[in-house]
Amino acid sequence: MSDQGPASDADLVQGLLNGVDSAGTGLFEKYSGRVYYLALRELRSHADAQDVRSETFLRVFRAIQNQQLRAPDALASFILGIARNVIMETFRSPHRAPHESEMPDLPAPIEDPMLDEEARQAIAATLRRLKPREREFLRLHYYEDLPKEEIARRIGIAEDRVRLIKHRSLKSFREMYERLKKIADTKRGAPSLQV
Amino acid sequence: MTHADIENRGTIEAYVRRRLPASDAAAFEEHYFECDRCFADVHAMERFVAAMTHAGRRGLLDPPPARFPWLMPAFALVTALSLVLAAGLAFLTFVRLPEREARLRQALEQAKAGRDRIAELDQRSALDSAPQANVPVAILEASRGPDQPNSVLVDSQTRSVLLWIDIPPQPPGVKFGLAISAPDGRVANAIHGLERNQNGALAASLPVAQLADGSYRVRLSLDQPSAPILAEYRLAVVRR
Repeated sequence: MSDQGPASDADLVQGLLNGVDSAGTGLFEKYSGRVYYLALRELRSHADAQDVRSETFLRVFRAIQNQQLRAPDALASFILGIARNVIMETFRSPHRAPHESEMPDLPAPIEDPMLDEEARQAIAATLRRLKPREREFLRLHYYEDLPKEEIARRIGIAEDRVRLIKHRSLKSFREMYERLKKIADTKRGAPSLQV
Repeated sequence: MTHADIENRGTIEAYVRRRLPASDAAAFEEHYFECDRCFADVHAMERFVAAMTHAGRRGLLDPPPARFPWLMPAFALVTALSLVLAAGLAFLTFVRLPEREARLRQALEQAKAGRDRIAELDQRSALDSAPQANVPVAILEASRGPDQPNSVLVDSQTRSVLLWIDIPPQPPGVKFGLAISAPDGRVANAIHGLERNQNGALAASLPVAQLADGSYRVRLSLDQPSAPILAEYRLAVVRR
C-alpha cells in the first residue's frame, strides 16, 4: 500500500490481508458513503441505513480475510453486491419497524431524511428569491411530477423550451443557494454545505 | 456507461427520481460505486429532489398570494377607462376636428370665391357703364373675299366692337339677325332684333371678351327661325 495519494482498491485489499489497520479505515472511508446512501434511498431510515452500513462492512472485511474476493479490482462491485443483499435482508427482517412512507394509510412524511433543518431553511430562503416562473417550473416538474407537455401548457411555452426553463431554474436555484449558504457559513465560520 | 451518456440521458435525475428501468438503475449503481464524481452528483441531486419535495409539501413553491386582490381589477378598470378616453380623444382629434376644419376651409373658400365674383361683376358693371373711347368699327361688306376680310383691331381697353352693315330699304317692321361663328363652325355669338337705321344700315355692338383672335363668319338672315342666309361676311379680330 502506497503512502502517497489515495490507495487503489487492490492496495486496500492487500493491506487488509496483511493486517494493516489503515487499510480497513481507508476502505470504509471510500465506500461507506455510497453504502449508506444506497441503504437510505431504499429504506428511508437513518437507523436502518446505519445498520446496513455496519453489517455490509463486517461482511466485506470477513470475506476479504477469508480470501473470498477473487479480483481485488472488482472491490466496488463486490461491496455493492453485499450491500444489496443486506438491504434486502433488512427489508424482510421481522424485527424492522416499517417506515412511515411504507404504511399505506399514512401520508408521506413531511421531513425527508436526506435534508437537515439547516438545509431546509436555506432552501426556503432560496425559493423565495427565485422568479415566479422558475418556482412554478420546479413545482410542476419535481413536486407535481408532470410530463413535459403538461408543464409547457401550464406555463404557456413551447415544449422545446421546457428544457431551457429547467436549465435556467436549476442554475438560478444553485447560484442563489450557494450565495445564501456562503453568507450563512461566513457568519458561522463553517464550510459550505453542498446541495 | 460513459459520463457523456449519463449527462445526455439525464441518468442521474432519472435514477434519483426512480425513473430508470431496474437493469439501468443497477448498472448505474455499479458505475457510481466506482466513480467519485457521479456519486457526488447523485448525492447532490438526491438532496435537491428531496428539497423540492419538501418545498412542495410546505407550499414554498406555490405562487405568492396577491397582497391586494382588488388591485388588479381596479387597475384593469382604470386602464380600460383610460383606453376608452384616449380612443375618444383620438377620434375627436384625428377624425372629427379635421373634418370640421376641412368643411370650414371649404366654406371660407366658397365665401372668398363669392366675394371675388361680386368684385369682378362690380368691376365689369363699372366698365360697362363707363364711356368708351375709340370704339372699333367693322363695316361689313359682302363683296370682300377670304383674302381681304373685314378686320378690327382691339386692345386691352377695348370692351366692344361696332358692326355696321349697309342694307337696302326694307318694309317697316322687318328685323334681321346676325350669327357670328368661329372658324370651327361653332356659333360664338348671336344678335337678334336688328332693324335698318336712318342711315340705311344695321348697327350692333359685340363684346370683345367673347372674341378671341381669329377669323369669324358673320351670317345675316331675317330674324326668324330657319330663315335663309341673306349674306355672309368675314370678320378678322386682331389684338394689338
